[in-house]
Amino acid sequence: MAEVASFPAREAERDVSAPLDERRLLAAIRSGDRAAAEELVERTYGAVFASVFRLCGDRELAADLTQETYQKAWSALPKFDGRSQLFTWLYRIAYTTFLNHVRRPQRITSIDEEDAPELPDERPPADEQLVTEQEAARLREAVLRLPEDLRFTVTAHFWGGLAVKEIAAIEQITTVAIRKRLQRAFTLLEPMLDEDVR
Amino acid sequence: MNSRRRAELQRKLSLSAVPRPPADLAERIKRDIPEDLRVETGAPQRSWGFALKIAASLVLLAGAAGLTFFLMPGGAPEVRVATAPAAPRVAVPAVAREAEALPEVSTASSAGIERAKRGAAAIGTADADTSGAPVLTASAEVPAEAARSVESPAAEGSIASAAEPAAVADFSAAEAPAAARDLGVAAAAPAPPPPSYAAAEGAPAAEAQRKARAAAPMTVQAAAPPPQPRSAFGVSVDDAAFDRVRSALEAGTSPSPASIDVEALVNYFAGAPAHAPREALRLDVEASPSPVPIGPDRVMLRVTLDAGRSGARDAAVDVEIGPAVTRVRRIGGGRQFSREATVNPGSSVTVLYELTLSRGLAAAQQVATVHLGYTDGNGERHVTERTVAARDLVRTWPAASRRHRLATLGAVWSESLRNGSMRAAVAEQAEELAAQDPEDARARDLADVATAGLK
Repeated sequence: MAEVASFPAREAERDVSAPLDERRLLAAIRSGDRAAAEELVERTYGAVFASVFRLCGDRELAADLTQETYQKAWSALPKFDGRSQLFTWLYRIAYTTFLNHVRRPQRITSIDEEDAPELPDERPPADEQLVTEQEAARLREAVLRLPEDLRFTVTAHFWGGLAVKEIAAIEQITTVAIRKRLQRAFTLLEPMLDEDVR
Repeated sequence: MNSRRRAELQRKLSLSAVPRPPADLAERIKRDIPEDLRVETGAPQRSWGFALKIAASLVLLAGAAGLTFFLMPGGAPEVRVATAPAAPRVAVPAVAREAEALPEVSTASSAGIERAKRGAAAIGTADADTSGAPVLTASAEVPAEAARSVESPAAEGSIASAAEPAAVADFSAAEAPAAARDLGVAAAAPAPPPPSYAAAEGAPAAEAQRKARAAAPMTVQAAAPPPQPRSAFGVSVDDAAFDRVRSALEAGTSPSPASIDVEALVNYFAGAPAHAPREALRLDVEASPSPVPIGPDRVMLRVTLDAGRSGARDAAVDVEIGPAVTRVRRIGGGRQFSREATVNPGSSVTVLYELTLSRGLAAAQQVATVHLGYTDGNGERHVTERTVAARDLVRTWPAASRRHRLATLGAVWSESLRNGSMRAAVAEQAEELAAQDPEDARARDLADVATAGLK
């Protein structure tokens, strides 16, 4: 599998000192410590990129949207009160950046793929891919067609790596409600499994 | 759904492959870290906007309480109370509304740039141009959002077929929300005018070449000038377009409508910047009323890209029209900006849009946002955007930059060649523009042809 920064650990596996680390990091950034800001980037950009890639399916686009996510993050830093984890906060910004991108009315038409230059393919070899590209594209489309509340929950949990408890905190609802959303989403996504079989 | 299928779905959701990010992505992100990250201490971290919202809520509550008391049985007769209108907001995604720590993320002001798929990073197919420079032909689509309509032929009241003069919309700070005014929030000062365009002195070599051609068209030059690409970003920049039209006018004939390349003429009059930009690719955005009256609430938006000395590659531009706009027309009828694999150093491209705005815009309401992404000569990726809000609209056409005035007046003149409308008004404006700077060769050209067209 390609080397990609892993998602933040699930809550049960999380180092109990991590929240303190984040608070110290955040305090350092807010005091103007550039090195702390760079450390935040190093610790999170891979996961943010992976999340955005899973949303858009395009490596270059994901890179640009990731870059924009951090641009917005620096601006939004004064408003971040630290109640959620740093990555959760970043994921929300990334998710919204992606949504704004797809909702823009004008799009640039892609140029014929035949003219595309040969770029190095850094994806894992085909035999290592547990989900084919076609499956991933269909899945992405199906997820993005979900109602907004379900879409965010599914993408945050599976593609952003956010724990149910974190998502519940952002959405300001109970974890039971989050799990119900996931159930509803699975019901809506289930027909896609049959499409893959055909 | 049984547990097996649920598990299969969860597995597929969790295990899609992800490529490595580009090797330079971390550095690109770090370069964007602001110089000053400091945040004022003191909990809670609240913004001015939040404080103002609280204050506005208290004012409204007090007003409502007072109204209730006033309307109680036995009180005064019923009166109509005009409440402060809610500050108009650009539609935001639900997730942004619910977030407690996000900036004003909206479809308007925050989004990154739209890009083509990986295949769009290609060197495009060559068109009939034999200049050898990479040329991309555009095949973009006309925007078709349900909330707004796009007029491809000139509609009544547009630049190309104005019926009668009408007042030009005044976009002043008076449009600021009443609530903001009540709280003593000063409307933002209008943005300073962009640097004015100055031709002649300091003009690039292409300008000298054009003059040489015009003065002695039959002269055979010992060293042929480097061929100029006919399009950039899918926009026609054919620098021979103006000479063709002028030749026809000087010969006493009217150029055929099909031979009038409005996009290229706009680019001719927009010309090059007075000074080469320091950056590899600079974005210049400006909006103002039209040089001739074409109806209320109509403005002309100019998007200009100027390449610096080092040029740029893998450049993509996206023009996002805000919800404040009810109709949009790209002047010259071109399609979307196409991705440009290579941007020649020193080149410029300009596109104009005619926008119809909603009435009663708030100062902060987005009119348009232009997004630009490119890779410079050092291989560094840059992403930037410019937003034009209602408050940023230049209030009158004469107050716009010279480059903007030339480009927009050139556009109006070009379209008047096709339909004969507004020619006298265009000629008058062109003469005045030329008189303001006798050294400006392009302004003189426009005045000459606009006047010749009256005969």
